[in-house]
Amino acid sequence: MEKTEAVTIPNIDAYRRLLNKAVSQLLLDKGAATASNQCLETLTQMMQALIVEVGNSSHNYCELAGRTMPTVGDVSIALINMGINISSLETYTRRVNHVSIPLPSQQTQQRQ
Amino acid sequence: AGGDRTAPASHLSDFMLQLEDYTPLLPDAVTSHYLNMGGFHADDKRIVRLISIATQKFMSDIIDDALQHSKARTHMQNASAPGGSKAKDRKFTLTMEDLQPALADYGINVRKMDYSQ
Repeated sequence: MEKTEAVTIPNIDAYRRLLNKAVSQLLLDKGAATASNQCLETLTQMMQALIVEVGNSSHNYCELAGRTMPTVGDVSIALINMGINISSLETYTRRVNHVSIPLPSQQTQQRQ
Repeated sequence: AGGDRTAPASHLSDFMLQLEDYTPLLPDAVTSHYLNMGGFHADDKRIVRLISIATQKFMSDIIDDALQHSKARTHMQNASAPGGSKAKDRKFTLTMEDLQPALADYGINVRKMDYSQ
């Protein structure tokens, strides 16, 4: 029987790695110097699932109204439906100011 | 009384104007990618940023709660063992032990499978 390889973060999914980075940054800002691998992975997965779900829900509300391009209203209904308070977001942005995580540099192919 | 009904809407439109300058922790490209996975496509980057901030705050609140659990637990441990290292380490380590009750408060059930390490 073949031995399975150790589980590592796949190198290909750059988006997932950036999510991981964002969670780690949040943890550091809150004063958690270290976190277990399982914790980090749970939080990353939750973050990914939340964004996908907000997108799906907003899209559905948008199509229900007979439109194709989602508006702020669709997003706010989706967020409210998921129990996220929108009015608290403004105070949050005023209170916390994070530096955005830079996107990884793209490899450009040199022309010969 | 009539002004109260329009208050939240004007509040949100003001907030949307502010989002033009605010950069959330998550890059717009990352949020857009995951939104696309849910079938969502928006040209307006402010909408994407609104979702980024909402996600960021949600995660931030959960981490806050988990760390509160962690602090309460370590405090209890220190109180029960006198003479031990008292409040020496200000840095906290987040483990599933603390994350689990914090998530349970949000109605999210996390359980480790019996066969996982």
